[in-house]
Amino acid sequence: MAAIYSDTWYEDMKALINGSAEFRAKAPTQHTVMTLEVVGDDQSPYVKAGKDVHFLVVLDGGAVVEYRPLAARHDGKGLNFRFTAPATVWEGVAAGLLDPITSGLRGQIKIRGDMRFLMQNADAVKILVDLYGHQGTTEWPLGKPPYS
Amino acid sequence: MVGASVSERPRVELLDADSASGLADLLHQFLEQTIEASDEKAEAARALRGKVVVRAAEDEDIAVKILFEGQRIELRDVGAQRDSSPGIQGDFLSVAHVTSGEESPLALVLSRRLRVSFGLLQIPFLVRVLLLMRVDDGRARRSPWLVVAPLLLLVLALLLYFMTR
Repeated sequence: MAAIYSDTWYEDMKALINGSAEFRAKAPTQHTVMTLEVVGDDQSPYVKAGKDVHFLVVLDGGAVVEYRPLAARHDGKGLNFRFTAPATVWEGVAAGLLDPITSGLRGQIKIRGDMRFLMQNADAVKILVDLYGHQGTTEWPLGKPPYS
Repeated sequence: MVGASVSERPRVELLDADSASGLADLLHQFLEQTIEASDEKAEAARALRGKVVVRAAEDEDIAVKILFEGQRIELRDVGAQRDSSPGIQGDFLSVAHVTSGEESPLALVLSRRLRVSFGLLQIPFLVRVLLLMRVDDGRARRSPWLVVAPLLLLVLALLLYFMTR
């Protein structure tokens, strides 16, 4: 159990994903670099309006090799995908309240990258986001979504 | 292959991009990248004339009309609005499996994970759109279903048409 966005939380998420045999079976083997951008808003007690949280997820050989916070927004070099959403959306997903696929289709989560690659690896994407949304291990020291 | 020389590739335009749905944004990027990556796809897209609506099964209010006009492809959100355009409705995974060649459109239609609506005369256009949207890499080419499925879909549609007359 780790507080959201803490160093331990990133490690826990990495271990959770790599512990999934289903994910390892479907994950792309090629080096794939993604960044998640959490845009602060008026509702999240974790990422306030005007602040951002950025983290990096790197897949290689069918496993997550990096899952860590970034000090600043990724500059795009060598980046395959950029996922951007307000903090309440990401936290709603992490709390299992929002379906990330539907949020993506609605445009609440913006996706930039090679869509053909995304389509070819849709199963891995689905497993990854399901793990993220149904892990149930995240601690919410400042309150859990939905925020009032 | 990306950026292969074709004098002028069809332009892919997303209307009201700032407020577009994620599905529209995804399809916009997908079509742009597909056409940019292959001369054959660019030619196939240029030859298409017609419109098709792609609707999300996850939320029926998310639907995108794609208008093929030769040198220009236009995408726009149409929401819950419905008309006589041929349509494809499926969940994200099913649509992804069709484009990547992991599953045949016919199998998905029969299992009701993919719903298609079309008039008889729209079938050739719909098949060509599905072929355009298929990701042509080594993995896709390995699946013979990708070539056969649209034809089977056509036969099935014709059978259904004549049986229900």
